[in-house]
Amino acid sequence: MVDPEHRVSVHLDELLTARGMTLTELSRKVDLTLANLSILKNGRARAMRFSTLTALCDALDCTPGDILRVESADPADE
Amino acid sequence: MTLNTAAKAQASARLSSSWLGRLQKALTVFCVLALIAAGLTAAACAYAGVTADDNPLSFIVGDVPQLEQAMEDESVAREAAGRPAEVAYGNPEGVRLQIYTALGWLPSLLLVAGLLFVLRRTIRRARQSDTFSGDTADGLRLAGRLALIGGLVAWLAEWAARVTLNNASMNLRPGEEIWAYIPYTLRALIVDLPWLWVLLGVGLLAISAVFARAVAMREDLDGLV
Repeated sequence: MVDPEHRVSVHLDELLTARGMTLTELSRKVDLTLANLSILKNGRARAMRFSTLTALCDALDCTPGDILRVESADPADE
Repeated sequence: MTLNTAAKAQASARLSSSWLGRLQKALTVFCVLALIAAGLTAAACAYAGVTADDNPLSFIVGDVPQLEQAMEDESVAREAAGRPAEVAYGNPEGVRLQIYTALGWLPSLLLVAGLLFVLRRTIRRARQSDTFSGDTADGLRLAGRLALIGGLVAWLAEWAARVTLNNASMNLRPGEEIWAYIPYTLRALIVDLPWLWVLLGVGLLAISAVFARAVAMREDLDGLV
């Protein structure tokens, strides 16, 4: 789900599935509340701290580009 | 809303609820007092109109020559002796005078009552939910518009009523009224504008804009992870 104000999509669920990790385990690893991680996973977050992004990349062994993606402005491309 | 901001909001609500509660009670009392004052003003004007119609001696006699002529009449002078003199205007229509007198006070009193009611409702909603919410900003914006527009409308109504009363007392001939209005109009535009209402309205609108910005910032903060 993408917020209408921007075109940034969060792909946390794909990364979690690929690594066989649950949201609760991730929340324990990155020291974030389950509520905040849920907001991020469901695309309801409006902004992310660099510290959160760093912690997620460390925990999931990925780059920011794996977590965040900018969707195309043209709906036909999707 | 994140847990952190929710906790902050709860703490802020606890701190502000005590004095907001007292303010809400005070506004309720002032609102009722303003309504009572408006009712008393209307009732006093109605009573003045009725007594004026019943007892013309104590009320309108007309212009100065008519008054002098009336006092030359011995029977009138004897009946009037010992009774308090009352200032009277030239227009003998009691009902019209009553309406103009009421218009000289009632709009401001009703505006004050309305403004207090809106502010009280805004504070009640702020206490029930969240101080920095869209409802608070909307309530303050409504109060600001009411003070600004209502203040000007009330002032215009009261000004027109006073000018009409003055013209009636001057016994102007048809066609002279327009010249009589000009000094009042000039003075009204320069001196008599309701600056207090204008300042209050602009101030409330500015505070509502600050609240709206605070609400937007909180929403942004809620979406920050």
